[in-house]
Amino acid sequence: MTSDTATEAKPGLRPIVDYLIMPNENSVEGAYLQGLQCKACPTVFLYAPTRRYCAVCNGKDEDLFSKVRLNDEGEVWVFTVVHQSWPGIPTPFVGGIIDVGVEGDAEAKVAVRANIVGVEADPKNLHMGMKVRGKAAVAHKDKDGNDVVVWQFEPA
Amino acid sequence: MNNESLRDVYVGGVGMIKFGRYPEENVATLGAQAVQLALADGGMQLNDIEMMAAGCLYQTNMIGQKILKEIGMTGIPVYNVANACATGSTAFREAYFAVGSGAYDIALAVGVEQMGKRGLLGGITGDPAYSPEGVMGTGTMPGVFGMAGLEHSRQYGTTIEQFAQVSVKNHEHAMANPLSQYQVRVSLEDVLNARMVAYPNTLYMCCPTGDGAAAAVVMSKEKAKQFSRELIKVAASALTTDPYTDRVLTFPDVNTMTVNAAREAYEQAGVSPLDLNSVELHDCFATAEVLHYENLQLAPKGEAGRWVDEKLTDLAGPQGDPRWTPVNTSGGLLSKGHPIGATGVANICEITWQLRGQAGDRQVPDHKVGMAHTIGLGSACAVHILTK
Repeated sequence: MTSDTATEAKPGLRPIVDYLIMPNENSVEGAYLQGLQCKACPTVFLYAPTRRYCAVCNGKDEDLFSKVRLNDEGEVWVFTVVHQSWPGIPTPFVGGIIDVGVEGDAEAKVAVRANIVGVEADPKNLHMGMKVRGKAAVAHKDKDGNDVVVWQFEPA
Repeated sequence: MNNESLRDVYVGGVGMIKFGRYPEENVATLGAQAVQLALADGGMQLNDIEMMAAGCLYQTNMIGQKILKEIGMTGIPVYNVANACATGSTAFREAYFAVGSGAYDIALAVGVEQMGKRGLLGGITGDPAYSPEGVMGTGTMPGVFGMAGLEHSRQYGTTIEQFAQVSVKNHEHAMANPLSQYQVRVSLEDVLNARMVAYPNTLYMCCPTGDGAAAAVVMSKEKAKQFSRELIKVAASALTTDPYTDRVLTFPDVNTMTVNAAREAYEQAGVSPLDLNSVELHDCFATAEVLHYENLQLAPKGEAGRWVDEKLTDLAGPQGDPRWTPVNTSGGLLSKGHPIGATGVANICEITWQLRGQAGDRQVPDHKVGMAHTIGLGSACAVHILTK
């Protein structure tokens, strides 16, 4: 984000990643994760505005991707409990890799990296294969006073 | 890769400085010392070197040339390479190609890194407010390799104790390596009770941060004979990256590129896993070593935990067992240290010493075939096989 846009726009909500879509300007309500599904192969990537080509089938056609909505529900593939991180990052926290499906496609799925919240950060409270549900939440403010929004999962 | 069109390449001299912390030095002065050690070991002069490949990850600005400005500006071509944790191995492979192609008769690979206390790695770039680290999972190395270990637990029931035992073994091996950054004996209890970094990797299950340098001279057969070197052959050099696998763009796949590189290396060298007398593999975390037993075909799929229990990779393990293949006799990254650019070349040093019978109290008897392996996330994996 450039300082120009920061001074023009009122402080508000800003997603931390491009694939977190927030339809409401003033609320995290309705937020969801977005993917790009290759029409040729049909791998799902996390949405990035700059992805033009498919890293799996090498597809490069115009209009190669469909924007797809990822399901809120997911399943924990693996997790870790992080006790040591960079300065300023609160620990411990649970970091996970969560498999999520794609709305309207029973076969497709994509992995999402996120915190698992709503449980004490102890391995005994977690297991691989655990059902979780994702939600958007404000994590902290940026230097311009915007609320930075993340996606996180809690036990379903 | 088909290496049949290349001529044979031999390791002519190796050297490394003791890994540790050298805040008063810089990458050029560290690298220079390693080069001098390798030249002295090979019985040659800098003027004999026709080409140089220098590996350094975090200070990539003309490191090879800076080393020559310390030891002798001979005007030779220099390549500077960076390839994550496979940086040193990639430099070695460039020197191998330089000689293998027939373009040069003697080439030098040097790897160096001055990490200070830079650890964790991965995770944060750009504006910290928009870094997902800690608020959308983790990309730090202890976290990623912790998850990779748990993935193995999930599939095969591998236990935390089995992961931890790897750290006990590698620290024990390091007791016999004066060049190891740490020479500290640790018990299983010490490892399990150490501060947790990222579950299940405790402090002793994470490689240390530090500085180091290593160098290796490679040469044609004619030159090796001319310098009266014992013929240590580079029988295989494989380099791979990630093929697309499920989750790989979100969760690094630390396995597949190693599987692929090992398969290719065995084919190039015409040897089988049972022929290996020792392996230096990329134990950046204790969890990683366990996974690589299977990836490098030392253990069948799912049985790496049993390999730990039966001490099949331990110098003090069952020597008569055909499956016995000591792993990380140097102490591995976990104890010897992991100054990134130096690591891949240091692995070549250790295998060379083992092949020559110069490994002292950590010598594997009757050593004829050894493997050196590194992986870097992002991704790069190198496997070399050396034979005599």
